[in-house]
Amino acid sequence: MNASVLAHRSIQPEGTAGASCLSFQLNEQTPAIFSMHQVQEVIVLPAQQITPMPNMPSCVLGLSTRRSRVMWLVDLAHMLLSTPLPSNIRNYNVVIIRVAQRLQQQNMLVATAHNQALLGLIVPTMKGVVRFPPDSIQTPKGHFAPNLAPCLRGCLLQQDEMLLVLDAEAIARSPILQSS
Amino acid sequence: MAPNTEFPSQLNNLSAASGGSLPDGMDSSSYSSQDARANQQYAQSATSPTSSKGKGFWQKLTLRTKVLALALSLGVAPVVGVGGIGYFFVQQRVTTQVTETRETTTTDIANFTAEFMDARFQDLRTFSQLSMFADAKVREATEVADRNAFLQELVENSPLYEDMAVVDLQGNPVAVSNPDGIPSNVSQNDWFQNIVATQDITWVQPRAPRAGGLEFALIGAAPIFDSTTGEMLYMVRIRLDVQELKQRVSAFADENTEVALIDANEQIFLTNTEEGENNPILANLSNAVSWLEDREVQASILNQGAGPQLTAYAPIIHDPGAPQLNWSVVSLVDTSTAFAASRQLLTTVLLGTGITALLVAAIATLVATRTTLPILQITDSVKRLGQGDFRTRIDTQGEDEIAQLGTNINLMASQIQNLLVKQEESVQQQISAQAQVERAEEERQRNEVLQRELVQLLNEMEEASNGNLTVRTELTAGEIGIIGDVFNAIIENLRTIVVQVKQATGQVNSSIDESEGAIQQLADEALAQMDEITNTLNSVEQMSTSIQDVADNARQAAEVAQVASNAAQDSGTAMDRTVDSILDLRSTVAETGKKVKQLGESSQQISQVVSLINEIAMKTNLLAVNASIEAAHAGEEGQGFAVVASEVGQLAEQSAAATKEIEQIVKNIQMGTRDVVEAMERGTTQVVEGTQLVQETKQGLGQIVEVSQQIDTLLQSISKATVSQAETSQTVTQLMQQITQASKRTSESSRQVAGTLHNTVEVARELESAVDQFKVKTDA
Repeated sequence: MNASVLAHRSIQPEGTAGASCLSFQLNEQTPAIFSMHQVQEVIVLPAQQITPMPNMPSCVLGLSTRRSRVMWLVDLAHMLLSTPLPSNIRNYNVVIIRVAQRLQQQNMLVATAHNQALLGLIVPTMKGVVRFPPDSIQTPKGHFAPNLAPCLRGCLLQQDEMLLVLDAEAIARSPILQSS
Repeated sequence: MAPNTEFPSQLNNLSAASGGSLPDGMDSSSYSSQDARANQQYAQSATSPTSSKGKGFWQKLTLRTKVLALALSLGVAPVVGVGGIGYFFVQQRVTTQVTETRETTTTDIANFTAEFMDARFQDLRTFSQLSMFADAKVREATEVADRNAFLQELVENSPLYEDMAVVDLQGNPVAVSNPDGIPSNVSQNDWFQNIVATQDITWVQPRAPRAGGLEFALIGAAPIFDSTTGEMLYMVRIRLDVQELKQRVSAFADENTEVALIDANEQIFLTNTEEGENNPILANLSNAVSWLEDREVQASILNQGAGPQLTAYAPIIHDPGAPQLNWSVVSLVDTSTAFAASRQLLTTVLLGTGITALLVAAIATLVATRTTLPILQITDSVKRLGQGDFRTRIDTQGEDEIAQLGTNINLMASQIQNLLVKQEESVQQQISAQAQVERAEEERQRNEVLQRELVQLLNEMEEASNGNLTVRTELTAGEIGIIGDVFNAIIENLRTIVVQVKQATGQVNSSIDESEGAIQQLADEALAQMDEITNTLNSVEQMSTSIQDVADNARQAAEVAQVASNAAQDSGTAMDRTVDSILDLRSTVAETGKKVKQLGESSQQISQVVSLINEIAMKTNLLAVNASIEAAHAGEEGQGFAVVASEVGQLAEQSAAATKEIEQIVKNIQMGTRDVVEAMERGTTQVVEGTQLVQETKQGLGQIVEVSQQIDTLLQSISKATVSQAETSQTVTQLMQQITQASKRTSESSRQVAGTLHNTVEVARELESAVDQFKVKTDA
């Protein structure tokens, strides 16, 4: 916990300059970020508020409502890295992303309102807001999981670790979420 | 009986007895042996030349034998004769009666059989007029089965009939009581042909049993005429049950009697017993007698090898209207059964005659014996008189001639006895007169001798009076010699006494000398005893002193034990206080433990609050993130807001970190309290153990107290015992002093005894000198 506090402080000096991003852990070893523009909200959702749905891919946990809007909830680690969350979690950390309306006809999963579609992505740990200059994003190097690669915008080298920059639109468009 | 020949022989006997030829011991014999000897005597006299042989057998018998023979011949013979004649006549009469009774019984059986067969003849007549066969209408109305049933019913209702059948004129059965009872065609049977010939009721003679049958068949038959036309249509045939007839005839016959029925062909067809047919008398009856031809009632005793049997015969004669069957009845009884009464009579007569004869014989013997007894007695007595025994007398009773004879013989014997006594008395008087003269002369001579011897004795005894005990008299025959002998004995005894006295005085002197020494020794020892007792007294006093010391020591030990007991009791009290303080400590520890537990619970509450704060911090962080997102959406205008949100997020993260630290601290506190609780529990256990140890120590102290009290008690009893010992030792001292005085007295007494003994010695010397005056040994 001390480490996390220190990390927050190290980011802070360069925080004022550059785009702000939402940082989280995709799993224990893999930190990742979303562009702040693609994120609608982060919430803590009790497990009993998720209604499971049949005939859906195993990474889709079900439906839930948020501010009178229905959205699908997807286990992001299961979807991208094929490492599902443990089943005994009572409260899920959910990152709600929003994507443009024009994608509606391509993916029925994404609920739309005010020309924006919402999708709940469940992540193990929420970290906070970080800022970094946009030109520091590099093209991804090395080998990634096959489901992860299409959703990857780039990566960001930060001290001794590598942050994955994920593309919310690509995730929402992903054929994995197509209903069978 | 001839008395004139009897008595001379008796006289001969007497003369022979006086001649001394009789054996000894004759007078002690009984009458029976007397009798025997008389016979012997008689035999001797018979062989003597004086008796003639012409006297014959009769005279050789004794008087008693003759009388007995006469009485028996007169008494028994008439009884036997009358019994024999009576038996002969009665037996004749009984035999006749039995024979007549047999004849009557046989005739009864014949008459019964005739009536039985006549009744069956009447039955046959009735059957021949049965409407079922005789009446044409009834005949046509009935079926064969009905006829059979009717006949069957008839046979079943009457025990007399065994079988019944109706046949037509061709011999074929039209109705039967039993289908097996008759062959299919009977036209060849004799009864069928008889009826065809005579047109009347017919009886067939009894037919021997067919193969397999046991009984004779008694068959009768009758023609059946039509009641209207009078034409013969059928014949009815009946077969009688021979068993039934046999039973009825047997009821007539007595027990043990065999009855046989014989038909006209002289064939036996019925007997009342199983083996009756095999009786040889029945089998050979026609050969033995001509009764069957005569047809008269007869009876006789026949014997054909199986023992004599009384056989009776009677013909069976039927009513004149019925057919004559010419049957006969023969009955047989064993003569032993028939004449049982006659035999009983014979037994009775024989028994009566025997008993009467025995009675008469007994009476005759008694009378004869009593009559001859006095004569035999007189004979015996006279025989003894002849031998010289004049004290013999005859016991006479009555006044008959034999009694008079006895009396006279007694008189004669007593006179002879008197004469003998007088002669003896005169001889004894002469002898006594001679003896008196001789006695006076002898006495005078004896006196002279006596005086001489006395003088001699006095001379010889003179020295003895001077103390010489060695003198002896000369022993002579006679009275003086006896006196001298007595003197010698006296002097000898005196001498022996004097010798003994001398020896005794010598012994007294020597023993007194010995006693003197012993008494002196006794006095010395009494003095030594006194010294030793004084020493002992000193020792006893020393012992008394040491006992006093022991008593003092015991008292001191008792005090020490008392002190120890008190100390132990004090320690016990201190122990009690220790226990109390330990128990206080225990409760304090327990209370502390409770407090520590409460502390633990409080720290847990703190951790709950901390987790709540942590949650709030997380939510704040989330809100900060959302605020940043909103600020980013707002664009340039939201830049300031984003900074605020970022600061809020940092605060939230800091508070989360602080709560983590608090959690860690609380965890440390909880671990500490847990250790404290465990330490407290261990302390409590140790306190309990300490309490137990203290209580054990207390018990040990209590035991010490008890032991020291026991020691105290024991020491007190020791001091009591020593006190009583001191008293005892003082008593012992007093006793010792008394003993000292007693031994002093003993010493004095023994000195006195020694003085007395000296006197005794002098007396003994005087006695010795006195005894020495007697001379006890010859000077040689």
